Amino acid sequence: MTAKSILLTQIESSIDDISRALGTLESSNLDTRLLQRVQARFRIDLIENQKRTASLRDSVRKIPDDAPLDTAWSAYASLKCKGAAVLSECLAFIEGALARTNGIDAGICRVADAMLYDLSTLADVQWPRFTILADGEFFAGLSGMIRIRFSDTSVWSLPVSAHELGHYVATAWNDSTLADLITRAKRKDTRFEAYLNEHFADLFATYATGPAFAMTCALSRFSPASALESGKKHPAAAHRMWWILETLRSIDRSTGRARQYGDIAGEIERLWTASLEAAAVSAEIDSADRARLNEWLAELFDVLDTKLSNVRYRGWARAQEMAESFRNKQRPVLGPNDRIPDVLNAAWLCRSEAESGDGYLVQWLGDNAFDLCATLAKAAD
Amino acid sequence: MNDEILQLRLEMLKEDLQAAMTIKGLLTADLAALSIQTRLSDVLNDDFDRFADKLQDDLADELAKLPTIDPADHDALREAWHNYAELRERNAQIHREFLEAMLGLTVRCKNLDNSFCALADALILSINRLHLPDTLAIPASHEAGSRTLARLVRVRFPEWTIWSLPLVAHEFGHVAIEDAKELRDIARTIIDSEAVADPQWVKDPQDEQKRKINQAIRQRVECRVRHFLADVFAVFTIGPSYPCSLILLRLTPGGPNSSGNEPRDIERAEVALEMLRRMAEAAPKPTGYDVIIKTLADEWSGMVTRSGVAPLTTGDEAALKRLVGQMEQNLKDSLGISRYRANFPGGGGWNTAYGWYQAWSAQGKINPRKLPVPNDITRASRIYDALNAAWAYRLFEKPLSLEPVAEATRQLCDKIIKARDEVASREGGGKAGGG
Repeated sequence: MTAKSILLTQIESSIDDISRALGTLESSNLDTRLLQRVQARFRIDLIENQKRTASLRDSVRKIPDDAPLDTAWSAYASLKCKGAAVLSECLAFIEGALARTNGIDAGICRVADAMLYDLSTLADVQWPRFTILADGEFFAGLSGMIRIRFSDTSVWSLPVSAHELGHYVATAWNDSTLADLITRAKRKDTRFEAYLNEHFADLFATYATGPAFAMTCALSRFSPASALESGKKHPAAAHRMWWILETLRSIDRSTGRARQYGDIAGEIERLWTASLEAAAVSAEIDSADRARLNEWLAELFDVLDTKLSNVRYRGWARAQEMAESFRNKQRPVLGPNDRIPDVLNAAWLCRSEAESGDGYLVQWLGDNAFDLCATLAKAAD
Repeated sequence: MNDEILQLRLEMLKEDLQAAMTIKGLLTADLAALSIQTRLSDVLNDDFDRFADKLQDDLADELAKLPTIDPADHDALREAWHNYAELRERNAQIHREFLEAMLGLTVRCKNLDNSFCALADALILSINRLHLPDTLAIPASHEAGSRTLARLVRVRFPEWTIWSLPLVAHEFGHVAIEDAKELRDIARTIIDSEAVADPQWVKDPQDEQKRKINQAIRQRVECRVRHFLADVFAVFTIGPSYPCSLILLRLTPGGPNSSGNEPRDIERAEVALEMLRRMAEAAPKPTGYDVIIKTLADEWSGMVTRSGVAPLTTGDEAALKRLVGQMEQNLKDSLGISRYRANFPGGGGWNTAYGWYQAWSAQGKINPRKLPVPNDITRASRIYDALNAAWAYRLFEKPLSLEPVAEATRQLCDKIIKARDEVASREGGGKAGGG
């Protein structure tokens, strides 16, 4: 054995690991429909990584026994890191696909897929993947799969998946406005790149699914107690909430329908502000931040409304009709033009009006909304 | 007056937790489908029940408190939100781990891992001389490096070969350090003394900043000590195959790449080698240990030198050797379990492994493409002996192809598990799964 034996051993091991992973993807136990949507991506990335690793192996073999190995190790580490990312997505797919087949997701992934395919078709930005369960929502750029939160296999968090689709749209649509804005903004603060990506995704989700996204965020996701804290990757919840509500108002201004979302936006804002005040957090956003957010929103809303107007949510009136059925403890009868966001908006509207602690009503709403969404998803298949 | 959003959040958390109770049913079904013994199923369910029940109680308490909070009492409301955030995180942790278990089990149920996780379960069972509650091996993108809520041992995808199997012993070590009071005490004692000995430790911190310095030191020391102890535990319980897998397949000269608290790979290599050196001093001297140690040490140090990485200083080496000595002594004294040795009272041990290696070596000279599966399998046969035999063959014979010995070892492991299962079945204990 020579000093480069360990390096060669590990390189060979990596090559074998990739072969094993490719073999696992051929398993007949995996859902064919899902596999077809992602197999090519994994195969391309894994085979490329394998070839580069094999090429590195050949180079290392030629290194004289007494020559330094630091460059070779560095190259291997880089390849292994890239390979690990693909393998991680690979395993997530395998497990996610099996979970869907075994019903661990209670069918929510199929419903989410249907909603997101519908939105991506309207946006003319085809999203070729699917959703899988995870411990939290995110969009994996490498594989394109969108994670939805496990255990919350109900309709209440579904609008958040539209936010994740927004991340995909940001990369896939044929417009450079966001990229240009990011380039300018990150000169002032490097965090603004991540913030703008989040704001864009919020903009898309609100634009595409209406008040349901705003209600999900305000009532079930954003924490008032830490609303003014900005992170490395996410803007402050207070800024996001402002942005989302202002998007609803921007839609009203754009469509000339002044009160379409005015009332619901006002109600959500009232609840959110009340929670902020209760937690002794100021409801006022710093004027400099507000000016910045205003400028960003104006620019991004304008281009979204111009180039992706087809994806704008247009079902609010129908959602209110459905909500009326729900209030009367009746399941709405689906019509030919009904869409999943209509059901989500109706359900959230009723839930936001419900008395606190009325668990039975919430359960009833959730179950019926889920059934309606599942029916719509099946019809779309 | 309630904070409406907080009330809604707490109720949603309650629904979330109730939805998670269905996990138990699915988990139990999957475990049954895998014929994983009832004891393990009970352990997982108990783990889940314990955490979920506590969380449910705490959630009920928070919901009950909410109407009593004076709306003008901002501090109380802030505290309520803070408590909610903590409950949400605990809820997320339960779901995260049980989702991992669920997803891992579905992979196992479909045998996409080619029963590798079952092998890992069997290896753990065989080294669990402390009779700790069972663990469950599941596929994962990376190891946890610490015990988690449920006793899950993560096996890195797709490194599912007999060569990487010994690394499972380190993962189990982390679980054991948490679960066995004796190991926990060993770890705590060492962490306390190492933290105080850190040059930046503040002897009598008077303010929050100095307390935070000590806290950071303690966290770093704790991470290092746990890793080292898990490494020592692994060599101690399964012998040479662990340092072989660790050094030849896992550690890199400049690793790890993070600026976190984990020890450097060159430190872990030294710890694993030092532990093996100590085991080589046993009487009678185990045949072949010296060759293994020399091969690993020469390979590793040659590689470190050629990689431009600064080697350990004499002082660092001496400190690590002292630490290993202390850990080894603690393991022997506190646990009363025997380390991996030439012969175990009931059978098995290095001499058995070496005998299997010698049989392969003899056959390999005749037909290196097909190695026999040993016939002398008894209920005392152990998976770790098979792994040691495999690594001995790999290092001593340097075969052109690893496939024949890998295949023979896999078959040997399967035979060992079958022998134990048959015995367990005859004794009426259901599937033992051990080896």
